[in-house]
This record gives sequence, structure tokens and C-alpha cells, in this order.
Amino acid sequence: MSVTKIPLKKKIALKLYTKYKSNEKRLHQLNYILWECTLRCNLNCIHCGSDCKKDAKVMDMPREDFLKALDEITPVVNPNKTMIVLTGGEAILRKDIKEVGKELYQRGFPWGVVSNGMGLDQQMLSGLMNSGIRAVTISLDGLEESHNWLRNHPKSFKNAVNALKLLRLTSYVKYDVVTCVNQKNYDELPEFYQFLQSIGVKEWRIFTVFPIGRAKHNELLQLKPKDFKGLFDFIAKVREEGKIKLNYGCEGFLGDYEGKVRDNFFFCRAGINVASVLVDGSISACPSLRDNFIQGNIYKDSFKDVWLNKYQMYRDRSWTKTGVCSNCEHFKYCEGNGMHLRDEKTGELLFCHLKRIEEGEKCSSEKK
Amino acid sequence: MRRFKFLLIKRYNAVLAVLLSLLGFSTACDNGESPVEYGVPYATFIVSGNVKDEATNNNISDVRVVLNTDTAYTDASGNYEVSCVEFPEDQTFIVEFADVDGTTNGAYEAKDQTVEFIDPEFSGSSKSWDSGDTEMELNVKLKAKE
Repeated sequence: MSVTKIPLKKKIALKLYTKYKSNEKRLHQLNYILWECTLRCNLNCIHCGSDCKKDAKVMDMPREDFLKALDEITPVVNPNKTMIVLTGGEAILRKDIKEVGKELYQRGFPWGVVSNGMGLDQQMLSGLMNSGIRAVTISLDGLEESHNWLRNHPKSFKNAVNALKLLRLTSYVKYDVVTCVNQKNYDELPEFYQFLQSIGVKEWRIFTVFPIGRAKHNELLQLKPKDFKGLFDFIAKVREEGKIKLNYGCEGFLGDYEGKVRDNFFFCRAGINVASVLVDGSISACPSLRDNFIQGNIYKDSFKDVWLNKYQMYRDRSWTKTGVCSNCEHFKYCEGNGMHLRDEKTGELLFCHLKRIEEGEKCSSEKK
Repeated sequence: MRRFKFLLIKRYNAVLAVLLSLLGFSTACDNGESPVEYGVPYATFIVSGNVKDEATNNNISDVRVVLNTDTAYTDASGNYEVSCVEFPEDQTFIVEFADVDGTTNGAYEAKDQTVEFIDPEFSGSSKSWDSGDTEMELNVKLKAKE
């Protein structure tokens, strides 16, 4: 059965969910803020979307500036229900990360970091825990050789795994693994799945690399159509086994795979519940949304005013019904795919998940 | 009015979420990435001791002792205990002592005393956010008002 043939029951659910999404857009309740707190990084990953460097010349944003913006927006959020995620670059390279954490704690915000695990040793983790950290996401992109290839560093796998082993010993930090699946690590996914279980990982998220940043120029980073489809079969199978909570990332409408590979149906919450403050003060939705997607700047605008009065292009996605989306029968469920998959200048869609899966189906049927 | 509309839409979405769950699907309104609960590491810092008259060394009762938001009064033996919850690491507090019952039990000048917990050791952790308790003794002497 084709991925585009959606059973009636799921169609009804998707229609209800479309209404749910429409209501969420009207509510426009901010509950997730990402802060690109540094562009400095201790790795030089070949797929990096932010083009960050070890000695990035861009200065870190002073924490006082971010906290001021956060204080501005506090009247329109519930701090206890608003997650602050520090990202980068490598967030834990900030010398004042513990002070940042304490400030967030004192304001009542749960907070977390996305890390490559390179510097996340016992001392760092204890410091972060004493500053009230609530969630850690570790990037681990396959078994040792594949991970070190993607991360471009011979010790990156070892360090990331050590970080995960330390996190396992904590009883109250929520943590998970994110994996960018590519041509190098695709075939080893079953073995990698076993490995994650062996080190006690309970939650795992899989992304596929999208064609921006350094990833645009490396063919190996993007799965071939047949494998792309195969990836969703793998995720569905792992979810059925229930040994590890696996989700595909928050991007892409997936046709009949909806409800099978994620806890929820596809919903790009960028600008609807999610905002970002980038290292130069730009106010965006996700850190990968730049240029024309920027809604303001904390150095010129009030974060609160921007959140309340802008983000129209995120809340009304009808403008995305163009190009490949213009005649798509699934547009009502998809609404133009993830915003980060649209060209920053032209708004055109760069990658359609559904079409890529369909290509994969064709490849499989031709082989038969 | 706006608030009413907001609540109405929220209620509407709650109904939709129920319908979806009846069909076997989830709305996962937390993005799948938000924490399921809010919490941070904490510990209880306890300060206890005795309050005496500086000149006579007699115990003073009913002296008010304040540590952050906790308030206690010394008992008949001049003993007190106050506590507060903070991050489980080095902490400095100011404990305030004040005679607030007029001339009953004598009249004494107020006193603020700094307490420093350096490398505190905690006991009784619940293995969750709670790192346990740590305690310090603080005995003070108050000067009688002239």
C-alpha cells in the first residue's frame, strides 16, 4: 500500500488534528524558547547547519541581554511551562553556563542543553545539575566510525558515549539521543539500536539531514529514496517493539507513516509555540530559520511585542502553497512541510518528505 | 473577553485531544521535547542554636529569628531552629534576631548574623531532586538595651 493512501480512520484523525493545529495557531502560546548562546564549537561537523567554528569570531551574547529579553516576555508565558534550550555552537563552552542556568532557575524556567558530549564530563554535569538543568540532548550519529566521520573528530564518539553513561546515573535529568541518519550509518541502524539499549538509553530521536549549511554539498549526508523509505519502516518496527522510545524528528508530513513513527502527527510549531533568540539578537522561530524568517531583534524590539504582534508568516502558512505544494492533495495536513525546509530567500520548498518516500516505493517495486 | 475566548479555544482543543485519543492518536502538545515535570535540585539548609543575654549569659525566650522566609521564636531555653531550601552548594545567609515582645523577658538590641555553608554535606536525600539536609549551629548573644 502506498504512503499516500491514508486509511479512513487516520484521515478522520488528521482532519481533527488540522482543527487542533488551527486552534493552536490562534492561541499562539509560547512554551519553548531556544537560545543560540554561542557559535563557538569544539567540533567541526561536516553536516553542521550553523557553519559554526572552533574559534568563531562572533562574540557570545552576554547573558544579561538574553535575560533582559526573557524578563520582557515573562508576562505572557508561564515560566514553569516554558522550556529554555541552550544551543549553539556548543552551549557548554560558555564559561558562565552555570550562572545562566541559575538565573533561569530563579525565574522558574526549566532549561536544557543540546550537546555533542565532548566536554560533558562528571564535573561539568555536576555543575549543570547544581544549576538546575532539566534536560540534555546528546548527538550520537551511529557507531564509532560513522559518528567520528560525521563529527570530524576521532574522540567524539567516546566522549558522547561517556556523557550518556554519566547521564544514565542521574535520576532526574531527562535526556535523549539524537541521530542524523545518513548513507554512512543507515545500514548499521539495527546494531546501533542494540548499542543504545546496552548503554541504557531510553529515548531516541532520529533526524534526516536537510540540505542547508555544510550538508548542502555532501551527497553522503542524504539518504537515497529507497533507504529514506526504509528508515520509516525501521522506526515503525522499533516503536512496535517498545524497548526504546523512538521518534522521528519534528519535520515532514509522512502520509500513512503518520501516527506510526512519531508520538504525534506532523506539526511544525515554529512561530506558533516556539521562538528563538539567535546569537546576534535576532528573534526567530527555530535557530535554523534565518534571513527572511527573522521577526525582530532583541536589541531593537521588545521580545514580547514581537511575539504578540508578528510571526504572521508562521501562523498563516497559506503562502507556502506554491511550487511543488501548489497542487498537492496533502497540503491541508502538511501546510508546506517544516519551515526550515523552505528556502530562506524565495520561500520555495527544498525537500518534500512524502515525495521522497514515494520515490523510495517506486525503487522498491521496480526491484521486485 | 479575550481571556474567555482563550479558555474556550483551549477547552475546544482538549475535546479534540480526547477525540484523537479515542481514535488511537496523540496530540503530543509538548513537542515531545519538553520536560514532563518541572523541578531542580535542592537542599534544606538548617540553622539552629541558642540565644543568650550577653552580660548575664541567661537564655532569652521569645526572640524572633528569621532566615529568608522562615520565622521562629526561641523557646524557654533560648533554643531555635530555622531552615530554608536552596541549591545544594555553598550558600551564605543572614539570620536576623530581634526582640519583639517589648520588655517582657528583658529588652534587647536586634542583631544580624551571617552564616556560611562551605562544602556542605547533605544527608537524607530522597534520590530525586532533593539532595537532603545540612545543618549548622549558630549561638548568639544579644546586648540588653540601655
